[in-house]
Amino acid sequence: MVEGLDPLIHPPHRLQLMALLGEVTDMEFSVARELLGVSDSVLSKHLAQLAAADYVALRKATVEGRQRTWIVLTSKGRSAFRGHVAALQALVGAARG
Amino acid sequence: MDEREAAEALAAMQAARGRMAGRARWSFWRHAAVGLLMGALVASYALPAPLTIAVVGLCLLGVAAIVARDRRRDGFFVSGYRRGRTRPLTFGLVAFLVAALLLALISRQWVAWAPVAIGAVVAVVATGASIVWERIYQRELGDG
Repeated sequence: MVEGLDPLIHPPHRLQLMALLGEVTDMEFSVARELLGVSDSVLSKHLAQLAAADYVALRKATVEGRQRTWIVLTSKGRSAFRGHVAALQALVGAARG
Repeated sequence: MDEREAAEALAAMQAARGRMAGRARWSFWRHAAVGLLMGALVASYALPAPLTIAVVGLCLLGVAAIVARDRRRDGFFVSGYRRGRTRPLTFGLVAFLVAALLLALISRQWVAWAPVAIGAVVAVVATGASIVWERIYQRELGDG
């Protein structure tokens, strides 16, 4: 793994999920699933990994009588995401420049 | 990982943001609701103190209702105070609101209905600012 790259964020869907969460206060599970184009189980697995590292926080809330899961990017996750993206950009920049 | 894979990862990330931009759209009435709440806050200074407090309480409830409605309708919530290109506009609007509140507080000593006129201006400006905020946000998502 290249220096600065975070292996936990490396999988494409996790990187995309972190990018989406970085633009909102919180996001509902089903919306994240649709935007990423993955199944419930795939997203659940990614979230479990990210939550275990304290990169995201999950909370349950009832909306219109249905319990839904909301995903929030933590400050630790935000910092890790920024570092990972900076490393990716440096890698691309180094190759071009 | 090589530079090609890194470029692909960044492109995929940007594509996800682009899909998000397609969803980050709010109706004119949602923007107008924000403007009306801010305008009502300022206009409430034309009322006797107990009623001003009641209107401020109603405005806070209105903000909570907008947040709840956004979450219910969109499946996500975006804070106006988020970091990024929208922040200068947010802080500018807050400064404008504070200035308008002070002006309403001072001017009502001479003209009782002045806060209502100032509130109307705030409502129009805040509605426009909310629309511009959405456009900046969408552009930021699209540009990366």
